[in-house]
Amino acid sequence: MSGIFIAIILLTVLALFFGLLLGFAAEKFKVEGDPLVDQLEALLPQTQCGQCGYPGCRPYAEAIANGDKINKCPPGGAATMEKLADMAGVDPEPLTATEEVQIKKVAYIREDECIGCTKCIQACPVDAILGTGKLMHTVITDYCTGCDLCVEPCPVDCIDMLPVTQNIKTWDWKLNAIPVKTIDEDVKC
Amino acid sequence: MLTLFEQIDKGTLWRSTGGIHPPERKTLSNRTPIKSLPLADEYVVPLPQVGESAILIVKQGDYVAKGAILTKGTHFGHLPAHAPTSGHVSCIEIRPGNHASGLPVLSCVISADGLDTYDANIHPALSTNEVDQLTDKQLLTKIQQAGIAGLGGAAFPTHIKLSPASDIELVIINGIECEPYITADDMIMREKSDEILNGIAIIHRLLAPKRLIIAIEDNKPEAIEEMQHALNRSSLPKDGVRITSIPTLYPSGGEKQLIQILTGQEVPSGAIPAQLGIVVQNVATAYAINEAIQRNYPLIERVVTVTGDNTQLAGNYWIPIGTPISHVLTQTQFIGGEHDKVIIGGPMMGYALHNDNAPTLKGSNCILLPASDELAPEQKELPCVRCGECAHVCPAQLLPQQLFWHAKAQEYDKATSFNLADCIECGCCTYVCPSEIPLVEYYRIAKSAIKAEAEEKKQAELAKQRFDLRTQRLEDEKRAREEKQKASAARRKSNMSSSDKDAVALAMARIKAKKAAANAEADSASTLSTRSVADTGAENKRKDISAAVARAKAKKAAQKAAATQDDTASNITSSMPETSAPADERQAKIAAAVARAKAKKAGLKPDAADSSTANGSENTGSVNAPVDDKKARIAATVAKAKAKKAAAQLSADEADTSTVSAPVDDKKARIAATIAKAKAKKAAAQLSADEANTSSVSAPVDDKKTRIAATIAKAKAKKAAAQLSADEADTSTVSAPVDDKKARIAAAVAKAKAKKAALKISTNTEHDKD
Amino acid sequence: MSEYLLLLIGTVLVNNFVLVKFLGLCPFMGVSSKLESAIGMSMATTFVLTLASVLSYLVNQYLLLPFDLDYLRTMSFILVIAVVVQFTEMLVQKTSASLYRALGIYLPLITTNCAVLGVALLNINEKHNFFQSAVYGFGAAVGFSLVLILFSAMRERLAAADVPLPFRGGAIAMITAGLMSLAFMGFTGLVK
Repeated sequence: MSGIFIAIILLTVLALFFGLLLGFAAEKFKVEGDPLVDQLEALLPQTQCGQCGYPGCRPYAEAIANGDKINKCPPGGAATMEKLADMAGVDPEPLTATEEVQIKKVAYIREDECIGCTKCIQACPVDAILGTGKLMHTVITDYCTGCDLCVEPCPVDCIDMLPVTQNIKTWDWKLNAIPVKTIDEDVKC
Repeated sequence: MLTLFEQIDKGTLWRSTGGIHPPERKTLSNRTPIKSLPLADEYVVPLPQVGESAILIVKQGDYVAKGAILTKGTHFGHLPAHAPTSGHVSCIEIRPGNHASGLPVLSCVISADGLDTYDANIHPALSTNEVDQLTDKQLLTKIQQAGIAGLGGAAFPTHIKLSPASDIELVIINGIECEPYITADDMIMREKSDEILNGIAIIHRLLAPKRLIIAIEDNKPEAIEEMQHALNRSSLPKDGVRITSIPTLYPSGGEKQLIQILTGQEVPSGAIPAQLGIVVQNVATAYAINEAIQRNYPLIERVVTVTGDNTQLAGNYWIPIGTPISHVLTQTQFIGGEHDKVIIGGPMMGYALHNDNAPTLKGSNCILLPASDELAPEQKELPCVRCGECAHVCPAQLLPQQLFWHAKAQEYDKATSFNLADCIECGCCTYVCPSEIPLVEYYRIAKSAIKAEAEEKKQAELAKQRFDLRTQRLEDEKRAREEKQKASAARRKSNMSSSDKDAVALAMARIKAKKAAANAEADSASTLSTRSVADTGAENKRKDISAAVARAKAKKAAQKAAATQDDTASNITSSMPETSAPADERQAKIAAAVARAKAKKAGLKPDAADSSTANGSENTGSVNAPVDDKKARIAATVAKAKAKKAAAQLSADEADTSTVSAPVDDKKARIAATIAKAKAKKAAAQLSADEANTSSVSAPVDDKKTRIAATIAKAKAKKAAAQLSADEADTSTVSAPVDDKKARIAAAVAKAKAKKAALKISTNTEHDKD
Repeated sequence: MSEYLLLLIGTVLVNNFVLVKFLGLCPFMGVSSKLESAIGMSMATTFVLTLASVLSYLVNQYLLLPFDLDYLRTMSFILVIAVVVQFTEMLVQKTSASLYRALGIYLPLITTNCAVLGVALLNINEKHNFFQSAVYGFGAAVGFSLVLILFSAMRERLAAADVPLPFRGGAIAMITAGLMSLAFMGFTGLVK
């Protein structure tokens, strides 16, 4: 009979001891904030477009850290999604957006149709639209993140999202290069 | 132990790693002297050539002489473009570019006049003495103005290389030309050795190195001999300058490889040779420098090797930069078909051209026209067998198979960790690969992907920065607004403490004061309205109820004003054109209805006779309007803006009347009054009599519809809807009452029509209305 | 001294826990898809294994045996292991957030890693003393780490390899693990 009591006491003492140890460790190794959020945010494209359903990239990073899906960022595309999956330690998932959305675009204002209402300026999260009341507006394409947010508020629908044209600088080598084969070793002249 | 310089003087060579011995096939093109081609009809100068942000200083139709500067730029690295021949600028447009992508670039097209007249700046050769008198700075400016870029292929601005930040101990003149087929440097060394040596002397003077080596591969004995003779003739110091023959090996002509062979030093990853105190210049560049300094002759032509089995006149040619390659092909009797490749550069590092009309560039040293059986046929890529041949031949001591593996799996960060950036894309690994894997292609793709990624990262950083700044700014603005609101609330509180009676007394006092000083009053009117706006923002609930009352008061006040102040009214009317159209449509909605009523009652409108019949209905409309407090607030905002603008023009008496009505409901009355005034001006200016009629007819039915109708009318008026018939406007307005939703659709359509002038839609609209 | 060395080599290579004894296969397959996380997992497991091995020995020797409580062995060992794992988890979270994420569920699952309990129980079976227990635990952990890192390096290559469609993913990983196991069987007889 006493054996059982000894066992109970022993295990209780052991558990108590370990409990104290862990409690002490938890206090000692306390993690302030969530460093993961910063790392996740660094991966996001910072378009602040809100297509993920959150009002900006930081809130979405926080949401991912709290277990939201990693596939809600159409501007980032599959590459960003994979990196997010990597960082968050979850499996990659196909993007929610269609392929079409993933082409990088910038906003373009048809300037002769612009009535100068300044609504798009207020909508732009990165201040990439230049203009003032009753005067024509224009988009600073270098700053435009292609977030789409200015299209909806425009009362005269004069904003187009145009795909970014390639130039020699942005050209991706894999497109339409004709391969040059090296000369054959056996041919001697 | 010998020092480095002693070893260099002895002619010691170090072993470089890797390299291959491809068949040279140089005899195809180096047996004939350098020739010139007849002028082409037009020359295409791509504009953003070397150095960015250039401004074109000629325009279409301008005459340019041969060697005239076409672009100017302020950037340190800017190199101007020059006209390759005399003629007129026929157009400036997007033309096919000489680039592996085949993407078009903005080009300046010059149609040759056939005279080849030199620009006035080009003068006969200076004597050595005259050259000696030029300062270093003058020399560098001349080199920059001549647009000289490295002619070895990379086309890096030469004047930057010649003004390094650190001391240069060793200058290497690169006459290696290790790539098969190409003989341009070989031929220019044979024929222009004295000029090259003069150019080298200028480089020597600018950099003042301890040693200068002219390195030539041992498969060019004639060139070595010529250069040696020229060196003996030249004024260069004999002990510090030597010609070194280097065993033939591809790619010993690469900058870093050549340095390793000649000095045994390895250029660190990511560094440039200048950090080791070494500068490498191409022989053709030395020739161009001489031309630029002695004759002020810009870099507008270069020796290009045209070779391969598909041309009958293989050889080297002086080809003006900007010559369409199709012209070169015709002149050298290209016998290939449409599917035969035109390769710019050599077989190892060149790229196939997409469009024959692309021009030659400063870096184009060879046009290779291989027959279909000349180069190895394309073969299917087989799996890597890990033979390690590629690692043996890699001159940069990389691990090509490892790079290939990661590049193929798109693990670019891992590829980077294997120093992908140090790959010089020489093509040795591709050449030896038994599995026919186009390794360099993979590296290029990986490199461009890494670059794009870095670019994206930068872009994201910038966007984040701007977003943060904007958020900060919005917050600041909000705080400022709140503070202002708080301040005005406090002021209001202090005002409220006094009784109504006091308020009346105060108002009466103010009337007198205003009558005395009109200007002072105008100021106070604006402040009052500002205050009332803040008030509406704070307590919009109360406003709900009292707004309607206020309106009525305002009207009364306006009537009074009209009775007493006819002459001031004319003043206001004259100032009408200055008041601007409301930016916001919503504001416009209320504004239109209210304004019209006010305008008519005050008798300000020129067409008062017409609209006065609708007076009764107008009243209902304007009374209905204030039901929604949101709109009222907007109206108040408009009023504020207008009040400020109009403040100077407001007559004292008008303001008085509004103050008289104040005791009943002080603030609301003031708002209403201000609105009334503003609207009167606006309405009179912008609304035609017809529009006023139509909208006022619909007004009594439903005020919401009225607003829509007014918007439509206004939008049309603003855009000077010439395309729109008056009928259309009428129908859409009349139809509005039928159904609220429908009306809104109709309004939207009408708006769109006004903008796009698409009359087709009108039938649909009418259908909607039914 | 040589006794300990032999014990170490024996546990790392000859009686490798994963490939010969087939213990701890769960993290072996689960965390081996990326080299970085495999290394992190290896370190965490090494820490846990060594510590758990020693602690279990102490608990067994000085608490269970004196009170004749052999029947509580498994229970108390699990308690010890769970505590050590919990402690490790805190440590990892503090030092590397991304590793913490990358290891994910496998980090707390070290508790149920049969290699850990296996080592603790085998220590008793083999009648190891304190130092032998420590070496045995450490050796087992090194062996686990060795095969895990080797395997993950191979799997990284497999990810880019042209594997026939039916074999992609887990299938080819299993085959690879089998071949690795065969190779490790070759060490049999290395230590007499």
